[in-house]
Amino acid sequence: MMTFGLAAAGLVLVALASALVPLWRRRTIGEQPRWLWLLALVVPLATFGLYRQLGAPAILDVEPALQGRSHDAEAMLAALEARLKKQPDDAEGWYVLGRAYQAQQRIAEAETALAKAVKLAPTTARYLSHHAEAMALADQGDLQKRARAKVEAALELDPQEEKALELAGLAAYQRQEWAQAAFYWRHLLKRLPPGSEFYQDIETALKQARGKAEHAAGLGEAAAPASSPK
Amino acid sequence: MIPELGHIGLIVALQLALVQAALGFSGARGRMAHAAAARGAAIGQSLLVVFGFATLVWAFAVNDFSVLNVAEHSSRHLPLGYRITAAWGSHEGSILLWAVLLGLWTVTVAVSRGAADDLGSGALAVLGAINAGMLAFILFTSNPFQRLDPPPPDGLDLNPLLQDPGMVAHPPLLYLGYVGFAVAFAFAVAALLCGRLDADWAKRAQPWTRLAWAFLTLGIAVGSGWAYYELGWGGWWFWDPTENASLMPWLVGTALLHSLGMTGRRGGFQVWTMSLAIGTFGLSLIGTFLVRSGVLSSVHAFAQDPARGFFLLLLLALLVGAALTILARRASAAAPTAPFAWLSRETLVLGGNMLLLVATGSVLLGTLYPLVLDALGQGKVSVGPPYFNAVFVPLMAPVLLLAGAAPFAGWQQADRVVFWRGLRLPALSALVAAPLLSLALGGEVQGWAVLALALSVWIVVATAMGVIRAGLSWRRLGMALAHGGLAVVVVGIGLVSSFESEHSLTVTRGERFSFAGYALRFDGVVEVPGPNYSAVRATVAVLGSGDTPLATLSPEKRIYHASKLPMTESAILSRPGGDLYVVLGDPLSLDAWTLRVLAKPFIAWIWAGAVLMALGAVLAAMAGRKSLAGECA
Repeated sequence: MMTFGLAAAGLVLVALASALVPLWRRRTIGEQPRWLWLLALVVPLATFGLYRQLGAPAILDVEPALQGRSHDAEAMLAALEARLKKQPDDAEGWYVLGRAYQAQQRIAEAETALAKAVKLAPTTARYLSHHAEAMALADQGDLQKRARAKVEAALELDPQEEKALELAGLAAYQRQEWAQAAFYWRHLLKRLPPGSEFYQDIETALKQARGKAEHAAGLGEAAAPASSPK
Repeated sequence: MIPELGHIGLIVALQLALVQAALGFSGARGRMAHAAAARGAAIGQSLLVVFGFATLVWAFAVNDFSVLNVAEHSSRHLPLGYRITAAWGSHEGSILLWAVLLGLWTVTVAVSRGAADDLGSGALAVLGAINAGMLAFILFTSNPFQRLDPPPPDGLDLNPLLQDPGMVAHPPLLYLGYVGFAVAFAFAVAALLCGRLDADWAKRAQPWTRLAWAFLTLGIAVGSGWAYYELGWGGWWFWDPTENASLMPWLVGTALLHSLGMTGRRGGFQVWTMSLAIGTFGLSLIGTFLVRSGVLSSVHAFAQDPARGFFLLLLLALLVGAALTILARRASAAAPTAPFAWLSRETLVLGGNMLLLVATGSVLLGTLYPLVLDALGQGKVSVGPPYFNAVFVPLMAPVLLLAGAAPFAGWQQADRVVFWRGLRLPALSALVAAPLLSLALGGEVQGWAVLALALSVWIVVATAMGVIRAGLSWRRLGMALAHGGLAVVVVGIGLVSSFESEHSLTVTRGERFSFAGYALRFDGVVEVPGPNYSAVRATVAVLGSGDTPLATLSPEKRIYHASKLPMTESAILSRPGGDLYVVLGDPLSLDAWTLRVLAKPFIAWIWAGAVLMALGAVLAAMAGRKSLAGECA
C-alpha cells in the first residue's frame, strides 16, 4: 500500500513537473496568472477523488493473496499442502488436493489424499467415488479389484452421484454387462447439462453399450467395433 | 498494483491534457511562457498515456486475470506474442491504443521546429482537447482496468480470428492513420484561432498528413490482406461497413493531401482545405464510432448500451461543430485565392477533390442508409457490392485520368498546346497496350481488365514523363511512387476481378487433379496440436514437370480449445503472376475430403501497390520537412 501511494504520488509529480517546470523557467516573463500554481493542489486532489470513484483500491489489500492463488497450479498446490499441514482435519481440502494431484497424474498421492478425505467424512458419496476412481487408475483402470466396493458404497449413500454413476457404468461395461452399463449411464445423462463435453462422451458410451446390449440379445445391427468407450 | 497505477496514470493524463489545452490556447494568444508549458504538458500527458497502456500490456503478459479485460481476451495457453497484442484486441484496449497514438503524434508536434510559436501552441491546444475527450471516454465508459475479485483461474482466450500477424499490425497502422489526421485538423483550427489564414499552417500540416495517409493506406491494405487469407473466402474487399469506415477518411484524406499542396503554395483555397482537414478527421472519428459503438453489429445492441456511442457522437459533434463554427466566423479573413484559368493544375486538382468527395458520399450513404432504416424500424436492407461497384467505380475512373493528366498542367494557366501534346503519348500507349496486356496476362480481351490496364498504363507513362520533364526531386519521386503504386493497385483489382476462378472438388489421398494450369496432388491429412487449438492439416503438393513437387500447401481446420470455435486456415502459393488458394473443406470419409481451390491472378499487386503508395507518401513527407527550411516547391 505504501509503495502504491509513493508510485501514484510519483506519477502526479511527473505530470505537474512537465507543465510547471517550463513555467518556472520563464517566471520572469510577465502575464503569468498566479492561479496556475494552484494546479499543484488541484491535480493531486482530483486524482485522489477520481481514483476513489473509478478505480478498485480495495483490490490492493487482497492482491498479494490473489497472486498466490491465480498464478499457477504449482503455487496453488503448494499453498493447499501447507494449509492441510496446519489443519489436517479439513476433508474438503484433502478432496480438492487429491483431485489436483490426479489432474497432474500423481495417482499414488491422489489416492492417499482422497483416502484421508473419506476417512474424515465417510458418508460423503462424492469423496468415496473419487477415491474409487483414483484406486482404479492405480490398478491400471481395473474397476473390479478395489474400486468396485467403494463405487457401490457411494451409490448406496447417494444414488444420483455423478462420478459414482459414471464409474458404475464403466465397471459394468468392463464386466460386459452391457444393459447394466447402459442403465447407469442413462441415469447419469439425465443429470448432465446437454451439449457439454462430458455429456457427449457419456452419450457416445451409452450408444455403444446399448448397441452391444441389443446385439447380445440378438437384436439390431452388428455392434460398433469393440473399443473401450472411455 | 501495477494495473491500478496504470489507471491512475490515465486519470492524471486526462487532467494534464486539459491543462495542455488551456495553456495551448493561452499560448496561441501570444503568451510564450504558456506555449512552452503547453509543450511540456503535451509530452508529460503522452508519457502517462503510454505508461497506462504499458501496464495493460504487462497485465496481459503475466496473465493477471484479476483484470477483467485480460480475463475476457486472453488465456494461459495463448502464446506470449498474442497475449501482448491482445491488449488491443478488445474495445477498451483499442480505444486506449487510439489515445496512445494520439499522444505519440502530439509529441512529434511538440518537439518539432516552431512548436513554441502561436500556431504550434494552438495545434497542441486542439490535440490536448481531443485527447482529453478520448481519455474521458476511456475512463468513464470503457475502463480497461476493471478488476475481478476473485480472479478466474483462466481467461476466455482471444478471438481466434485475431490470432494472426495481420490482425496484430492492422489496428495500430489504421489508428496511426486516423489519429494522424488529427494533426492537420489541429493546425487548421489553430490557424483560425490565431487568425493566420495563410500558407504557413498548410505547409506545416503537410508532413504529418502525408505520414498519416501512408499509415492509413498500409492499415487498410493489411486489413484487406488479413480478410483475404484468414477468412477463407478468397475475397479481398467486401464493402463491409467496417471497411467502409476506413475507406472514407482515406478518400477525403487523399483530397486533403492534394489540397494542402495548393494551399501551402500560395495560401489560396483556405476554406476548402480547412473544410477537408476538418472533414477527414471527422470521418476518422465517425469510423471509430461506427466500429467501436457496436452500432454495426446491431442497431438494437447499440440502443441497449448507448453510453459509448453517445459519448463518441458527442465528442464528434463538439470537435467538428466547434471547428466549423470558428471556420464560418473567420472565413472572411482568409487570404485571397489567386485567379486561375479553367485549364490549370488548380482545376484538375479541385476536380479530383470533388470526385473523391462524391465517392466518399456514395460510400457514406451506402454505409449509413441501412443503419438509419433499421433504427427507424423500417426493416433491414442490405447494401452490398452491386451498389458500391456500380457507383464507386465510375466515380474513381476519372480520378485516375486526372492523376495522370495533372502534372502536365501548369499552375494558374496551363499552356494548352503543351498540355494536350503531353497527353498524346500516355493516351496512345494506354489504348494500344491495354488490350494486348489483357490478352497476354488473362488470356482474353475482357472489358473491365482493359479499362483497368488502360488507366494504369496512362498513369504510369504520364507520371514518368512528368518526372522526366520537371526534373527529379525527393518530393516528385514520392509523388511518382504513390501514383505508380495506385496504378499497380488498379492492375491488381482489374485483373483479379476479371480472371479469377474457383473450383470445389472431392479428393482422396494420393489423388491428382489439375486446376488453372497447376498440377496438384492431395497427400492426405494429419492431426497436429497447436498451443491453444487442435488442427487437422492437409498436404497438397504442387507438381512440376516429372512429378517433382515444386511446393506444398498445408491448409488447416482448427478448433480453438477455449472458445470451441472452428477456424479455416487457407494455404496460399503466392507468386507475382497470381495466387493459388486452397481451403480444406469437410471430411467425407477417413481419406476423402472436400477441397476448394481458387486462382487469384495478380492479387498480390493490390497490396504491393498499396505499399508503394505508402512509401511514396513517406518520401514526400521527408521532402516536405526539408522544404520547410527553404523554399516550398
